[in-house]
Amino acid sequence: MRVATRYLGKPLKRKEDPRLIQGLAHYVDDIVLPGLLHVAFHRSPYAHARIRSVDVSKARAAPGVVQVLTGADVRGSIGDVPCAAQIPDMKAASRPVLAHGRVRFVGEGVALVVATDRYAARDAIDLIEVDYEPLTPVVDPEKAIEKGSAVLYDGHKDNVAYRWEVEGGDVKAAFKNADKVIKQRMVNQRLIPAAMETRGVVAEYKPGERQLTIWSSTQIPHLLRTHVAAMLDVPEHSVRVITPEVGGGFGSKLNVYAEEALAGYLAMRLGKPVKWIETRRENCQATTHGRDQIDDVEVAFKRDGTILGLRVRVIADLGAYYQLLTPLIPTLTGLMASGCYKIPAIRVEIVGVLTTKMSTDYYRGAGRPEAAYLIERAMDLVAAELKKDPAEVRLKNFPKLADFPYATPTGVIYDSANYPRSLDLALKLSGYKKLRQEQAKARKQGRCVGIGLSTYVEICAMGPSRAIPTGGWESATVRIEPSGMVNVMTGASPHGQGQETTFAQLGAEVFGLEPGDINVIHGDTAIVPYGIGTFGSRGTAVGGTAVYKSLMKLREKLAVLAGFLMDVDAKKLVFDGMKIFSKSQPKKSLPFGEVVAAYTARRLPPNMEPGLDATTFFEPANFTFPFGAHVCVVEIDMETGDVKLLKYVAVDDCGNVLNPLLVDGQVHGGIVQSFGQAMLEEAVYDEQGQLITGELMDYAIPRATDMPWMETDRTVTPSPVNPMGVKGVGESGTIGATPALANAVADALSPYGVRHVDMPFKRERIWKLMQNSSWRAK
Amino acid sequence: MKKGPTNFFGPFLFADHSRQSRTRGARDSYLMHIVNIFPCFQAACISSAKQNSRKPARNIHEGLLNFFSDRSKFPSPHRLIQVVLFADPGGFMSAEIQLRVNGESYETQVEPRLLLVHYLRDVLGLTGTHIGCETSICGACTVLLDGKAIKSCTLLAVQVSGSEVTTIEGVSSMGPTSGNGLHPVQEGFWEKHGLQCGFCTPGMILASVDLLRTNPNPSQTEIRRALSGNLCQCTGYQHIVQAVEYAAKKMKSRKR
Repeated sequence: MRVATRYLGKPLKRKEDPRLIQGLAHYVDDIVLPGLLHVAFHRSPYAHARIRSVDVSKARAAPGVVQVLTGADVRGSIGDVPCAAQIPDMKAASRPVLAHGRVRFVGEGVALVVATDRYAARDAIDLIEVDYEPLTPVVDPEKAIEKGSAVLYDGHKDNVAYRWEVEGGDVKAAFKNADKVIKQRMVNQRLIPAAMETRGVVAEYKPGERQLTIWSSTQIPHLLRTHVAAMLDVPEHSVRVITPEVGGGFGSKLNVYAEEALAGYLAMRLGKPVKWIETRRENCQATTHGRDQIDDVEVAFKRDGTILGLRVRVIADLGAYYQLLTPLIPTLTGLMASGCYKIPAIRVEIVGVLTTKMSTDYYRGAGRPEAAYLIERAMDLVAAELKKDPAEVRLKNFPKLADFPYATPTGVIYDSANYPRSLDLALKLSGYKKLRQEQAKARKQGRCVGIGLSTYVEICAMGPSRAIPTGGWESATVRIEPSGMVNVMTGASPHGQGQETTFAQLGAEVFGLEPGDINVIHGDTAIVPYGIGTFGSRGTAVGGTAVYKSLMKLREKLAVLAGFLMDVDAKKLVFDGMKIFSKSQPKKSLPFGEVVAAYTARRLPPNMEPGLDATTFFEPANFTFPFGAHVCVVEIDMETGDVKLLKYVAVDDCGNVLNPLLVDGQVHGGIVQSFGQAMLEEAVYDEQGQLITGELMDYAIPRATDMPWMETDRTVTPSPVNPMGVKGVGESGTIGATPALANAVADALSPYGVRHVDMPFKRERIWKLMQNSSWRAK
Repeated sequence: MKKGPTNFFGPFLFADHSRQSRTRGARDSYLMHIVNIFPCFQAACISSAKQNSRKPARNIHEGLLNFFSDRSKFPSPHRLIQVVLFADPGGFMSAEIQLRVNGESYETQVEPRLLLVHYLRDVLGLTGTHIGCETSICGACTVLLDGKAIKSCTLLAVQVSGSEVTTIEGVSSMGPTSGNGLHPVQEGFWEKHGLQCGFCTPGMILASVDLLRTNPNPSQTEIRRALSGNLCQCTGYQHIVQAVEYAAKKMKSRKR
């Protein structure tokens, strides 16, 4: 399918924007219903404790309070928080919606208050008295799996949740035959996704119709519906989930949370609508965290820079309980460990560990930033060891074009790529040779300048259902109204990605209309056919393909109908300029609005049903693999440890581009969140398991002043996985940028004998390193 | 800054947080935590009433209202004051406030502890202003108070009685607009893809409007600095900077 035609490939501004820029959109806290009650939670202040007793009598008597519930009250009435991921032999770690008997992380919900207004609910929380018997917190994941550690679950002998491994090629031989082996321990720190809108849910129950409606700030409306119905033990058709505007998700809202089921339960029990809006503190404590791996990396290589083998042992800190995909995330690191290199032998061993912290789960990149980070750092360590240029070592190890589709030893098949081309473009754009010369000059002046590269590949457009616990297909119904207006109902659930615009561009292109004629609907389970949702950069690659196929099904039907009405061969018809006409006989032309003939049905072709409605469930045969190359320059102030980002160049390949403006936005956003991980962010639990970084005052996310101008460009290597050739781009920036920044900092410090620095590169950390390095010794 | 408050309230307990909670236009901003100040406070109420030729407060509630609504006592509108209410632990007292919001006048009875952002969202139903944190870091709650950007999560509704507030719903009427009825800043955000999920956007737009009021031709560095009190997780800020540049250009060309 050609791109860059009338609307595709064009930087159209978004259809979503008018309501957002005028404050007329509705996020979940903007939903108001008559008689709405407000919910607040008492959450555990202990990381690990037994609950001896809960006294809610004072809270029950407080002004405005309608109901107070504890774990004992709902036990048996609401199912546990679901986990869809299954790893062989994984231990149970399921979370009750309200803690009963034991709490296992700071922030775990223990009791809730329902009151007439949010201030009264918050007041009453302070009146709940819980008698906790503190237990030993389990905070260090390496210590957690040692003998003698406190164990989170009575039924378990230790805190190992699961062991998983993937191996391909002869790893033993690779390490035996290597000229050199490098070992490096790397920490990929725990992050808080920190969407600007915290979570929230509104629930309303209509007993006559037996209809429970849940509005939730979620990325997965249909999956949420299925799971909440199961948790509340009500028929699935009696639950409707509506996704209002969602203020960011980044994977943290790709989940089924206790509060969502509790809100539904309360609405049904109280006969009044209820609302719960998460505070930022709750968001830091009790919304899923990202990353948190300790990777012991060993790479075996030849003196000429050829990588022979890779061995990684991963300690993945999962937190205390499984949320929807918790155990699965680290396995994605295993699958993508080879990066964009032809490494013949790879072994990745993962130990999933339970600790007294909030669950980790999907956060932008989910397992792949960890993989890109470890392999890209490894490549730079190899280059440093051999005193070769990092770009040269990478070029040496890329697979050849003829190798594609390329099967990695970890069992993944990369769809299409041209790594040398994107690296070359990034080096050219950044003026790499000149940068190295300037660096040499700066070093002579005693300045600490570093240049960092990353060439990354990632796995997205989730994905073949056999590999995705939730199913990985996507749905789309296209329905043309009698008026000629086109409705696209997509199972994707965008929350900023812009599919209301992109899918309108698709519809306009296929039917020869304008994007304003295409109405894209998503997020309401009563309107949209079952969908999997938006995450894993799948909105356009999977969701858009389902839309495209439905559009084409309808176009075929319209062509047959129009051909029949005009007595022209359907195959010769063109859809353009709001008309359907014959290329060879332009006088044979119908305005698009004549499609109403399918509804009036006076003259239809033989065997054609009336109506204009087409549904597709698209099951992708493979993931897609966007890739790219980033180059950046940092300068470190030796006296203060301050790392300043001077230059950032990114070349990203997401296959065919439907809207370059939106793609740029995704790349920028991903790069800056990566910057956050590299420079600023870490979710810190102290030895008592207290979350120190519990507000945005302590958990620093990037500001406008942190970034220089990002220079971005792209190469286009279409994907063979879907007819539009798109790969997806939502997570690419987050995967490609962190390694580039880390490599730049390591490069800056390498003259002082520093080989590796763990993130985030806070001033304190760099300063300490410098004090202990040869720089101070001078 | 007038010396008034420091006489009554003792040393400030927290360091200057202006870097973390900067909005363009706030001159001084500090976080004050006042505990156990009842005697001083009452004295302050009476004294301030005298200074302003108002009748002295009959009780702590009126005193509170008098004190907070006396804007001269608060050179910076950006101040959080947490007051321990000795007289009424249940907190069920109410005060009457008068506000103009987006050109409309309102007279409402509110609890003194009601945040301005909750007043706008829950009482007036203007839900375009958002709440993204509780520590005045994120800026999603930014509105204009008497034309200047402030964070409405860090003000009590009673503090701003007598003032004029502009929220995102009222921005387009601040003009100058083109045929589409949008303020040039709104238009810039649309044209340049300066938003994705849209949650930070109202605050971002109002902070930008305030910037262009005082600096009609800002550099990229100045734009970034002015918006450093508004967090965005989606855009990476680059398109936002371009949006503000677009608006600055548009507003300059309109003036001719």
